[in-house]
Amino acid sequence: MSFALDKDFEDVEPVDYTQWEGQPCSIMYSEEYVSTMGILMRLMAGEEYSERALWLTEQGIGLLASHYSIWLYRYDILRSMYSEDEKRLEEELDWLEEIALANQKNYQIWNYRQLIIGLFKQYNYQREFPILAAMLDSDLKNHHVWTYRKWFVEQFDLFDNEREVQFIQQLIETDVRNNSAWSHLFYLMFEKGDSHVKNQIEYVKEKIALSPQNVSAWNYLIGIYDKFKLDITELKDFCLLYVDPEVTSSMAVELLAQIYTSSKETEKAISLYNELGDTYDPIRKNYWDYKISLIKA
Amino acid sequence: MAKDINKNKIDYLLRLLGKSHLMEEDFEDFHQIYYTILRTMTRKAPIQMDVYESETTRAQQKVEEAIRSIYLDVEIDLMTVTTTNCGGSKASTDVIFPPLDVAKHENYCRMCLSSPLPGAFIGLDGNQCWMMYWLSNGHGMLKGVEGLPADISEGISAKISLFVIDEGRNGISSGPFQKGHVASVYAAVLALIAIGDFKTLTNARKGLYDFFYKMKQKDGSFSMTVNGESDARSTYCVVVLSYLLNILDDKLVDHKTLQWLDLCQTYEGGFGGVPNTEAHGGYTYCALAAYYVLLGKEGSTPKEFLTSLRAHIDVDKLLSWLVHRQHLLEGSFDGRTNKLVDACYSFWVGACFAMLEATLEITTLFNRESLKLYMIHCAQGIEMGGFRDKPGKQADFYHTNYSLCGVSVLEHYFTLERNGSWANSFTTEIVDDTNVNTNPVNPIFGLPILQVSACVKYFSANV
Repeated sequence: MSFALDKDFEDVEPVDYTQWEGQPCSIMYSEEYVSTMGILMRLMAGEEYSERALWLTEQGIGLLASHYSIWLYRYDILRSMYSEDEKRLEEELDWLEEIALANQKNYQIWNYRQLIIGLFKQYNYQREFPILAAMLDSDLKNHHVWTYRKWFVEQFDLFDNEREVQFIQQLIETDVRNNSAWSHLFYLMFEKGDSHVKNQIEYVKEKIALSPQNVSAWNYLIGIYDKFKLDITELKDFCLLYVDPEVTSSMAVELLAQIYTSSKETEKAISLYNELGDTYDPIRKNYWDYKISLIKA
Repeated sequence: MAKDINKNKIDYLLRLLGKSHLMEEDFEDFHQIYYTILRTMTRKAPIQMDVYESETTRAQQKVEEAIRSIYLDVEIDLMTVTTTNCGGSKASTDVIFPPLDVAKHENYCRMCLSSPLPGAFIGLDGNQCWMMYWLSNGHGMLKGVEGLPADISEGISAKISLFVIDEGRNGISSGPFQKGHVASVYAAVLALIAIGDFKTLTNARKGLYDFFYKMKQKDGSFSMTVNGESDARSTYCVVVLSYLLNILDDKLVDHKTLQWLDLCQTYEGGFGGVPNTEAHGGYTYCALAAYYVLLGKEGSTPKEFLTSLRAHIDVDKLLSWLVHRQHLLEGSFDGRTNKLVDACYSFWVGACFAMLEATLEITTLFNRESLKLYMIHCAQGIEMGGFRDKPGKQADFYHTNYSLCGVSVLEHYFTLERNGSWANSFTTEIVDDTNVNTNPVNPIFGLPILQVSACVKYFSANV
């Protein structure tokens, strides 16, 4: 349904934006902004839940998608008018996808999307895959989208969903340094127990081989060992692949030093921490010295 | 390419001296240290980056090229000064670490507060309280600068008063007729504390308690607003605000809040916004600062406090994750593994270091000099003042405030001397008294230490 700002809102007294002029950080609003928001904020204050109000929130979001109040208002309108109308809610999600693609950095959209999906009695979660893929295609590490994706997995119990797992592994194939993908994979693989431990250790070791200085993969490996309380000294030979004869990974040196610390080979550990500080990872010298002081204490 | 030209210049200067690089005797001790740091940062990486190429590595390389070229320029200036002005003295220090252009930053903050903002700022219409906090606090962080003119600080108080909804019971909004929102309350309260207006807050504090209580979730976290998101950031905001306003009690924040925060620590060691998401510098800051407030009365020595903290989180993993935020060439911090550096993390990550250094009783756990190089040569806005994310970006209010807070972290060493609660117990020592540009920041709040203690004092007397 379409409305006209100058005809369909004649009964509404717009909020006066000029009253803010002259105050600290006052913005020189455009006429279009003031005329739309002036009416919109008045309707919102009066909690008007109507077609025209719904239309106006769309105009407002078009002008400023990060305006959190409009999103909350729009949700109230939709819930009050259409909470039983799943066809209308589907349309809302279609519209939302366009807005999301045009506003990559926006996070209100994702909270709003959760609220709308919450109105469905039964939601076909399959429809989320294409929009999430499209969003990550334009920004592989979009934090809001990844947080939403985590909610999505939890909400619809997709831990063993083949499509989800394959998609994430594909992202890692494309960019083995995509830490957001690794973090999500960790959740998929280990939230429900230890059944993936063995295959994931092999998997991440292969990925370390591709890029030995990739911190994401090392963190994933060490993360598995910590979470399941495995013995890190098992990783000694693996670390040595990247330390001897030539150091190709400071992460390997660091883990090796940790291994020597836990196996009480303190001289070896100290000498590795010194090498890290002096040669392989000088920016963290203060930290390596601190690690040495802990061993000596 | 600029890089090659720089390199040629350096080679030329060195040939003049008949050396492959400057030697220790060319500098006084002090200058030698910084020359070495600069060389360590700009020279070939100690371990050859692996050959793997991807979007991540390409983005990283691009930033490195821009920053290497800036640092090589500094190196040239340093060598020119050293070779032409034997004996070094003050001049060569100033090349590497010139004092911040305090006057320019002061002007930037004051002008942006007092002049109408162009239409392009409509994007910040939902962040009105934030703008006032960023600018007034950025201003207050600058050392030796007089307070804001009365008309500006009165204007801030008046404007925020208009945004207080139902005496605080429905929060504080962040723009004309908008809804109350925890982040807006946070920005508004901090702006008022930054300008020392506790009176406006007095009227709202009881109402705000009710507002925060309404935001409490079953899992112990707090939401930003009704139907808004709840995460480590919204939870941090409620925790620190109720502390600052002296309305923190067991009914509002109980053990469930701590338990929920515990779940946000990830397998990497940092904290995600909600459990099981990627570790992130901003959320890590929020979570860690919240612990300092909530464990405020635990133990009477830093060691005892540390024991309480360890009962909740893996401090060693957190520290390991934090130190890996610093990049060798850039000297600055990123916010997540395999992401690009950004000046705002000088505070989000830097403040975590300040908290942990004080608690572990270690003078310094990161490289302050390298971060300082980044803040001065890469993040500082050159023409108009202010600070920016990284070279190639424009200075903005957000980065100006958090950069100045970050500079304060690196210009001070932090210790804890229990005085009431841990969050208000930070004492500092200046790192280099020949070059200090900021007032000491309280790492829990992103406000000057003095403003925090004044606030705590005010609300313990006026309740």
